[in-house]
Amino acid sequence: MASMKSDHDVLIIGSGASGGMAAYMLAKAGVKVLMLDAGPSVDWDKKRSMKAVWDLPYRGFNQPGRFPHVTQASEFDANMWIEEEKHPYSHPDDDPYYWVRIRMIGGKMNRWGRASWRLSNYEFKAKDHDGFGDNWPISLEDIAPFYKRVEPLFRVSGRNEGIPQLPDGNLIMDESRDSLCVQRFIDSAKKLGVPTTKARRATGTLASSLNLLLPDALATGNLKIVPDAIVREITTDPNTGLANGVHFVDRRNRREYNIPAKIIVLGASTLESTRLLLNSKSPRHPNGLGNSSGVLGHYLFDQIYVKNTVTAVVPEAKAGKAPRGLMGGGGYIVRFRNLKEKQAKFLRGYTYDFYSGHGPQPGQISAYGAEFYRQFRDINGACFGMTTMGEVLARKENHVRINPKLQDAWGIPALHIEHRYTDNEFNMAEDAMNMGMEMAKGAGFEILTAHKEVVPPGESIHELGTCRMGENPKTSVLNKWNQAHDVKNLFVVDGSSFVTGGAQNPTLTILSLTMRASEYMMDQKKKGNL
Amino acid sequence: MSERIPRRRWIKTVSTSIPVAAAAAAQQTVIQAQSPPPVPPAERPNLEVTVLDTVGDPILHFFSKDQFATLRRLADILLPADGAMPGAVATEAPEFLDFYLAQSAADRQTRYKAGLDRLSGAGFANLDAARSASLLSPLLTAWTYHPPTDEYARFLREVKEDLFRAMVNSRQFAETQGGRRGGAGMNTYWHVLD
Ligand SMILES: Cc1cc2nc3c(=O)[nH]c(=O)nc-3n(C[C@H](O)[C@H](O)[C@H](O)COP(=O)(O)OP(=O)(O)OC[C@H]3O[C@@H](n4cnc5c(N)ncnc54)[C@H](O)[C@@H]3O)c2cc1C
Repeated sequence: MASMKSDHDVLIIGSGASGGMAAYMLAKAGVKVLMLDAGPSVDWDKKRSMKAVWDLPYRGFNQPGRFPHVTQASEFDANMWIEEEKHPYSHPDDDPYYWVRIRMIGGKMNRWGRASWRLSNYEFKAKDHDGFGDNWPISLEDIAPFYKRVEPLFRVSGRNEGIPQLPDGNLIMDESRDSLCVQRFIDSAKKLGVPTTKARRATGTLASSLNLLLPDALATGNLKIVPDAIVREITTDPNTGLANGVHFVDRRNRREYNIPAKIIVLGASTLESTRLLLNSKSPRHPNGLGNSSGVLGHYLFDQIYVKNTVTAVVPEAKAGKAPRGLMGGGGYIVRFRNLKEKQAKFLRGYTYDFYSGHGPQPGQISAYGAEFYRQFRDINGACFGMTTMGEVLARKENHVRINPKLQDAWGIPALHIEHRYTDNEFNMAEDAMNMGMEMAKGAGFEILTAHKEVVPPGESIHELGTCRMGENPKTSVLNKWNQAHDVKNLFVVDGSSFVTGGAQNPTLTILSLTMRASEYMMDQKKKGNL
Repeated sequence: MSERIPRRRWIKTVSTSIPVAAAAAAQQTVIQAQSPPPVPPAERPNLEVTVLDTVGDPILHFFSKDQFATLRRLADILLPADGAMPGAVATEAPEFLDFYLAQSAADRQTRYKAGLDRLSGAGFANLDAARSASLLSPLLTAWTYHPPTDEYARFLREVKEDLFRAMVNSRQFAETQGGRRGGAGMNTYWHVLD
């Protein structure tokens, strides 16, 4: 082993939500932490400026073909996302997978939408409820104390409704009044037995690991952050099988390094962490690190998104005649399916974001010329929209594995990703379209367009599973503390540890699990078990 | 190109989004508040530069002469000028699409050329309103999530959406929005990170 240039107790891989939270917890508790991240450290003042769309080389269209899988990339922020040709992956030709990645200090939270929902026991104990899949080895009661601490840290605002499928939070109460069209919609939903609430969101324009976790961790003097360090392999001691260091490569010049480690926290994001473990083979771990169960890479899932499921028009707002207070704002529809009743065509449930006061997309108007302008102006500002987010069942066959024929620009073997949706997801999307139309009509809105088309797997940017936790080391990779069953000094803290994901955006749960795992790790360290 | 709106002198300042005078004033405040050394103005000049497409006419590469003439005619019919608002032609949306299509995926290129050839073959440039309406009738069918399976109908939908976007994202269009932040399409741009 090389000489110890750095005196760290814990080595963290990744600086996003998960890695950032681990650094925050450990450094503040006096643990010496070294953090490696594959991306650059970005000076936000120097690297960003205001520009007009007409001043961009492609008038806001983006360079053709630059982002085949990142529909979220615009020409304004194109340089923020990874360059896809340097970071290849494969998928079956007829089953596209949209893997959306950002590599820079702070990770994807530098761009996230800040929606922050708790999971409930309908997710943690999903199998108990409907018999499908597996339960988590933890329940809401185990993680609730951590949700309670993370929410104020991220200044999450919203409203508590006291409903079991959406546990109440430790929130900044959102007492804002709803616009009249939103009130009408809420009333219509209520008549159908559908609960609604305010959006729950971290406040502040950024609310990221970058500004809320890493600065405090650095201020302790216990954290060193190393950008541009792509970890290619976690090494292990051939005698004990424990992790003993990492090999990493300088992103800028491909120079190789290694560094010893006593404890490793892996938070490189769901699929990158699993890729790294699969690439870390040794005689003691022939199928990848921590993979004696053979389930590493399996049970990949995310959430279905049906973008703008329904676009409706509020008639009183047409022709720019909306009275003050009619339009604007939105909210969230909480899961309502398969709680007490049982749907014949699908398990689990879905939610919607809804929003109002916008205009139509040009394609939504079936006209051209003067008539196009007339119709466009008539409903501009009068639209009401809904986007569906639904649970995807965790199935073993949806998986990632190493593609032996494909490497990234640094020579690191790349992933092959196979993820297919099934009738469960498609039937759910159809139900969401029909219910959305019914609620909108019940509010007196006119339907402009409605559809049930689900975006390709991955596009929701909520990829989860592949390194899941569980009680049984034969069917899971991690124990209930995010600790590898096979490798006690390895903790995997990102979304790869999820067993189910519901329809709620996952980052609040990733942050809370990491906080919990970090405290357990320190406790175990104190007891001499690590 | 007689439909073009009169050109203004489009000017931007290098390296700062703050207007030149305000930046100079801000510098002075700093100089007064702190002790020297002041930065000699010549070391950090804010040069006035002109946006290139306000001085040069784009050279067309992708469409044939005939296809481009058809595209311009189509642009004028689909998105004409409207009061103070310049239409697709005055915002040089067809010229932009010639540039953009030259780099686009092969299937899109083929669809565009075939669609324009079909219109041109039907004498689109000289048709009266009723005859051209029948050629454009696929645009009146109801919206669907997936593009139409018929390639010509798909072309029409694409060209309408592309022209619209090229029009509203243009400098000429921004000018008619009275410099409104959203209307003028201002946003945060991420420079190359390395
Ligand atoms: C546009 C957008 C909107 C979103 N909106 C929401 C939302 O509203 N609510 C929500 O809950 N979630 C949202 N998300 C998802 C959220 O950002 C992620 O769930 C969260 O960032 C995951 O954190 P992470 O730490 O697992 O991974 P990341 O944030 O991706 O961080 C992983 C880090 O690891 C580094 N890394 C990767 N591989 C290696 C390697 N081999 N060696 C070293 N370092 C490595 C990367 O550079 C990166 O910095 C959104 C994401 C995007 C992009």
